[in-house]
Amino acid sequence: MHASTQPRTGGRIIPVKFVVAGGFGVGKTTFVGAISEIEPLRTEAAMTSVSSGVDDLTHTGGKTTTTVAMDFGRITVDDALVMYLFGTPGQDRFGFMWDDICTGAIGAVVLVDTRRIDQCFPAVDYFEAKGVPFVVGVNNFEGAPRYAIDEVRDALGVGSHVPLVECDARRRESVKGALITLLESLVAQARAREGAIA
Amino acid sequence: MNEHRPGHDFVRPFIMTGGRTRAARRDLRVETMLQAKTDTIPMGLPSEQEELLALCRVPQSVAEVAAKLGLVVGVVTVIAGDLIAADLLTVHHTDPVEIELDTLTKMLERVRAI
Repeated sequence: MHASTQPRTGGRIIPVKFVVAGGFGVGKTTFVGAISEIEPLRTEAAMTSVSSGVDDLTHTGGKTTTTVAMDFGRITVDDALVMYLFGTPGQDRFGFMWDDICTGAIGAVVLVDTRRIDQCFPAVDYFEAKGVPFVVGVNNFEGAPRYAIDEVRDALGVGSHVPLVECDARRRESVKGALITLLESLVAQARAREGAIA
Repeated sequence: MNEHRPGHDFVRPFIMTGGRTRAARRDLRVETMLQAKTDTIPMGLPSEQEELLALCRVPQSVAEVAAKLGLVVGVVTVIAGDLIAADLLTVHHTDPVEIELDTLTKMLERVRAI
């Protein structure tokens, strides 16, 4: 494993987080698995409907606890830099835990299934509201009606600053392309900021 | 690579955290890197703290630790919070505004090389 070769006493490792979002069954885990250097790992977060105080267990009996799974992968850049890709749980009802996953994310990929375009609206709304840069990956499933990128853009109501790419989550090259598009747009934004300061 | 500890399935998470259900450290995120401050694990630590420290001899994220120990993220943040308080663990994450052009370019080149 790459990580185990690193000296423990070395400097800090900067983790950079990316989020892969979209409706249920759109291929988020497949996307992560196509590009990750490790088999996607699954971790779980327990969500309770009541946000009780520390050590307050008096309401435990009445709480509903839901466990949601998120899959994530990793791309090691160098000794000091690691990229993490987190898939968000797909169902709308888990929207309340998105902050836990998305806080600190540098960018996102929103996957769209053209047969169920509306399923990605919560993700698009979320990232727009939070100001997290994102690209839209249009997953043209077999048998699904094929739409021109501009038609999808119209349906989503996203501006021209949001890149849209075709993306087949099963194909590494395609996933790579979506991630490169996201990174290129982040680089362009960073250049513009630095230019504005200089 | 299955490092899941089956034993944890038989212990309710809040037992391991002393009944606490919220992390003392709200700043621990899924991607926060955890790194043991020392190779030598002090004697007498609760087993879950010991396991976490042993794992974090190699720096890794809260999410990786949770997946490998078979614990939910919230439990890992509580255990990690105790270890930070005991000065046995260091943590690190980065906010998007701190990511510089140079870092972005490195990531872009890395992904292009995949």
